[in-house]
Amino acid sequence: MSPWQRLAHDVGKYVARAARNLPASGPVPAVLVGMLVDDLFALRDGQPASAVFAELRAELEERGEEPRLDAVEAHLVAIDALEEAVRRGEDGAVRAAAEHACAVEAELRALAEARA
Amino acid sequence: MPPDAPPTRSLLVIEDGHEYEEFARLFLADGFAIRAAHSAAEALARLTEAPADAFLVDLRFERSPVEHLIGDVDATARRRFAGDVHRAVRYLKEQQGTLVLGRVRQAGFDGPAVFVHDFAARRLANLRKLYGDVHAVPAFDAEAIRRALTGGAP
Repeated sequence: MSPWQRLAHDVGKYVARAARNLPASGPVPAVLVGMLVDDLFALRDGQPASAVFAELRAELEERGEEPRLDAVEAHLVAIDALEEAVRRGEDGAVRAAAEHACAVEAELRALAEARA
Repeated sequence: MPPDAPPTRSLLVIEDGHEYEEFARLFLADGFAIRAAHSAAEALARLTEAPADAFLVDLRFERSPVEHLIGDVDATARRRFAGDVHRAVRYLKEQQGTLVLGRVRQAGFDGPAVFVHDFAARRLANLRKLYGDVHAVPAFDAEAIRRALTGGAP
């Protein structure tokens, strides 16, 4: 598995596990908010998705690859900024964070496919 | 199915962690009775207790201890990695889901198997040749996974 595929898998796929399955309308059930919190802020060994991403990005940089990952990082920064409100279950924050998570998934998958 | 009727189909989730099982219990439990296994041995034990109609299988078992993996580490090291055992273990972990599915098929359980993975078309075709009713859904898309688990196109 290439580093790009690993990013798409370890971060992209799992960060959107709950996010891409939120109900289209109405309040998001607490159990789904709980899964979203895990995906965003405890993705691997209690680390937030942004930290897992940073670790894998550093591996790419060590290999001398040009990451072009600033857009993904911006989404993850936005997710981290929403953490307290998401943990409180505020619907607007939950849906905004989920949109960012789905964008992370889509962008990382596109990058992995482009390098396959 | 009436809203309160128990699910009539059974799903065995096979993974090294708990993410797939959590997902299945949240999004698929209205259609499937769900059980989980974390190794080939455990999967076969669950199937001996009761068969499963479908399988949701993780591909990579990175958190599994080596002793829980199936596949011959030394032979893999010799054949693929010039004797490098560490690379062989990593390879077996990265492919473990397909190896476990192979054991499930050998034991006679041929229900739809779904990987949440973005396989290349050629790889998926090869998996189907080897293991029959195999589907790949590239993301945790509950509706696509549900369709694939019931034998439809994701």
